[in-house]
Amino acid sequence: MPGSAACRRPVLVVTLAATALAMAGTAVAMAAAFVLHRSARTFQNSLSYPFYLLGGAIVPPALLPAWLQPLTKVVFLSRATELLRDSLVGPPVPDPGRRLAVIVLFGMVGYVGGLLLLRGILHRVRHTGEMSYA
Amino acid sequence: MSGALRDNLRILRWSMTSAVADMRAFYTWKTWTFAWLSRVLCQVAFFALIGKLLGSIDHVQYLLIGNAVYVGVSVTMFVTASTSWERMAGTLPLLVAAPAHPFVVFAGRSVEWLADGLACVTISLVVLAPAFDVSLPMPSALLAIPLVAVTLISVYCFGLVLAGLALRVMHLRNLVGNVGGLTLMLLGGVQVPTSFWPRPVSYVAGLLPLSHGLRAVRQLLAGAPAGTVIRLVALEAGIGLCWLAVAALVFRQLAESGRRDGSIEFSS
Repeated sequence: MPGSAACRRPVLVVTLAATALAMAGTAVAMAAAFVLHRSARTFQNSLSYPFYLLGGAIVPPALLPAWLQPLTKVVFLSRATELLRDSLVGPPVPDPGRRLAVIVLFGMVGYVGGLLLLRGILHRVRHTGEMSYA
Repeated sequence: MSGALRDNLRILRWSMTSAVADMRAFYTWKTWTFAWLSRVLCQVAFFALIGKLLGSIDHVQYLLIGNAVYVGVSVTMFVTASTSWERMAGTLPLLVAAPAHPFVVFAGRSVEWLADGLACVTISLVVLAPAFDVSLPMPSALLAIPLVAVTLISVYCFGLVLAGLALRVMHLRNLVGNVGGLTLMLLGGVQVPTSFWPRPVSYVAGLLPLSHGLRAVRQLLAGAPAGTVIRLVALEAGIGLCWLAVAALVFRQLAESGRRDGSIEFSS
C-alpha cells in the first residue's frame, strides 16, 4: 500500500519523542532513589543489564521465561522498542495511539512518583538535619 | 621461613584484611544480593538469550559459560580502579617510605574482587545453566570452581599491571580498567573462539590471561580428559605469574620515578 510507509514514519518520530519523555520521567524516579540510598553507585552499576533484558531492545521478550514476560510489560522500554520495530517494518502499525499513550503514561508515572519521592526526602532531611555537603 | 618472607606475608595479610573491610563498606548483603547479583545474572542471561535467538543449544552453552566466567573477570578488573583509590587516600608516600615494597601492599589490597568475582561466576553457573538447559556434569563440574579461581587470580595479576600504569593517570583509571576488561572479553574466547581472530591476534590472546583458563573450564564441562584440563590451567597459572612479575616491575618503576621527580603526594 503506497500510503502505509508515509503513515509509519510519523509514528516512528512520535514514538522516539514519547520514548525520550518516558526515559526522562523514569530517570527522575531513579534520581530520587539514588538520593535516598547511600549505595547509589551500586544501584547505578546494577541497573544496566536488567533493563537490557526486560527492555526487549536486543532480545525479544518472547524468548524470556514465561514467568518473566509479564514483568517486561511494566518496563516502558519494552513497549517503546516494540512500537519502534512495528513502525519501521511490517504492515501499518496496529493501535499506535493507545500504545503511545501507554509509553507516555509510564513516563508520567515515573516523573510524578520521582517528584513526590524527592519532595518527601527533602522534607525528611530538613527535619532530621541529615543534609550534608558531601 | 626467612624473616623477610614472614614480614611480607604479614603485610600481605593485613592488606587483604583492609580489602575485606572495603568490601563490607562497599556492599551490604542486601545490596550485593538484590542489586549486584541480579545485574550479574541478567548480564549472563542476556548473552545466553542471544544464543537462544541464534537458535542453537551449542551457542547458548558457549555464550552462557563464557559470560558466566567473564562476569568474574569484569569484577576482578575493578582492581585497576580500586588501586587508584588507595593513592587518592594519600597513603602512597608512607608506603614508599616504609621498609617493605609498596607492591606487597597493593598486591593484597584489592583481593575482595577475587572473592566477589568467584561468587558471581559460581552462582551464575549454578543458577542459569539449568534454566537454559545447559548440562553441568556433576560432581566433576564442581572442579570448575578452582579452575575459575586460578583464571581470576591470573586476571588479577594482569589487572595489577594496568593498575600500576593507571596510578600515573588516575583520572583515567576507569577507562584503563574497562578497556583492559573488554579486551579480555573480545580476545579471550568469551563471545567467539580465539581462533575466530586472525592468527597474530590469537597469538596475543594466548599471552593474555583468561583464554586458557576459560578453555579449561569449557573442556572440563565437556568431559575432556583430565590431562587436557590440567595442561590448560597450568598454562593459565604460568601466564598469571608472568603478569605478576610485570606488575612488580611496574610498581617498582612507579616508586623509583616518584622518588626521583618528587611526584608522590599525600593527596590526589
